[in-house]
Amino acid sequence: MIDGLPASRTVGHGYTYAYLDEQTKRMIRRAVLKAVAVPGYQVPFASREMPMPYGWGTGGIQLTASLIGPSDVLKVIDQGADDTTNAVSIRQFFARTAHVQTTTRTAESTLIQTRHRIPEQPLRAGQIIVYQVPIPEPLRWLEPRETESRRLHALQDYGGMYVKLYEDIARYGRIATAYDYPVLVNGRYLMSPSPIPKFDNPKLDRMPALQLFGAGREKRIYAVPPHTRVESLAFDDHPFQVQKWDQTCVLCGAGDSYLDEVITDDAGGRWFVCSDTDHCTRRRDGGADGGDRRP
Amino acid sequence: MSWLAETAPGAVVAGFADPVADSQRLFRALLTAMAHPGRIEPLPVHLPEPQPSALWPTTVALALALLDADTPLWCDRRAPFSDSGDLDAFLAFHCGCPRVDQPEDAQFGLILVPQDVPPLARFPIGTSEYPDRSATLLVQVSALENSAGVWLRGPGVETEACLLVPGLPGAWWTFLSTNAAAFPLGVDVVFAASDRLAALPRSVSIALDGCG
Repeated sequence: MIDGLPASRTVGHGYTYAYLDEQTKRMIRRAVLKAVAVPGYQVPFASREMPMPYGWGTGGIQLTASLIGPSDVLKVIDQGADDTTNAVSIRQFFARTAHVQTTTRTAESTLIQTRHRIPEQPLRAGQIIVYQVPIPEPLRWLEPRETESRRLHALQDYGGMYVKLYEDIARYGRIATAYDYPVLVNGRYLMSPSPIPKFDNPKLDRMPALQLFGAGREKRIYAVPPHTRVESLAFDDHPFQVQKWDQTCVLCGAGDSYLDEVITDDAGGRWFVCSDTDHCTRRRDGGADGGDRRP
Repeated sequence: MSWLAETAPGAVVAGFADPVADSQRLFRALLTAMAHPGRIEPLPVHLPEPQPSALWPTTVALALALLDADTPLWCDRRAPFSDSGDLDAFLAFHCGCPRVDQPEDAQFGLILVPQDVPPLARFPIGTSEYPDRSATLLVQVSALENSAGVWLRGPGVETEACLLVPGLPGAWWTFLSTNAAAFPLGVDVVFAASDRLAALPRSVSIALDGCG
């Protein structure tokens, strides 16, 4: 430690605290406050280059860097898992540059950065979950022009999205969208929940934790405040439904969690395991067992 | 050389003791307040004495954490007001924010004497395509209480909340309830009492009949 400087100025092996400079953090913080004040609206921000490629969570990591402080406990997941390359790297990045405690336990964390899942264990008031978002604009595949999609949001003209879901029904007999399933926030803004499976959509609704979304390449930040209504789009005769499995997790036997399929050989062998590694570990620590279903 | 700091006219007083950590703590308190309209958050930082005479510690902390060269500021107290000297020097030195004369040009409004109701309707409320291009008002108030005041409902409020801002003129509440009705356009308001803060984002709906 350099004499006379507070600890927060000298941690991180020569990096600024939490990597970003203070001016950038202020800019992002102001955007976050606007995002919270207009739930579901995508606030443009001056996204910075980060020491990782676009697509690896540069939006989420800039949000986390602007939020994080020494008293936070950080959890990072990638597709529900704490132990994948991306999650481990981001966790180490903040352990090193922001001197924070990290955890894999959902309940112990104050700040969760996630790619493509919401933890199975319900989040509580006071926690913040930061989503990494690749394409923040839900209308982008229907309307490629930013000027036009922005106008559609201004006019709350979301008919095109309903037509897209209807075309699914006409073609497949059901809504085939399985992830990044569009939602309406507080009855006003159409929002992409990031590519979470639609299995997780019900967790968005009235969540007691604050939800923040960051898209680094697309330079957008948006938010869902706690206890806010989040509806998945649907029709009266085709109500919103989540995925169900006939299988249970081979490790913990869970029948109510989101399952990943793992190919085990070239003869058609497969396992299903919990995508949320913390959820699975806690269940096994509590004595749960997948039993003889394990090949 | 300490006599210089004490005697030089217009000497600038110190800002955050630990700018990085204090900005972060203040921002998290403000984010919690903004995400839970009406909730009163204690001021999480301690500021060195002395501070500009016209400002509460909470107001000072908000200015230090939010304002910089990118944020044009409109303030209701500036020269030739007698109490504005150390305030102007403080903002110029620590924040470096451009000062504007017209509320229409401001990204932040700093209102130190809300009893003299400023021209609230002139602050930017954003456009339907960019509702974020709107002002945030930092309003210094004498006290904040979760008791008989106004009812708040909306995103961030689980059922309902109530907030009392003693001494805030009725014209403010009339403005704030019409502000909420203009959603997604509107200004966002942060109230700063001496040791606490609360926020009213535009998304909150305000019922003026008092709550117990």
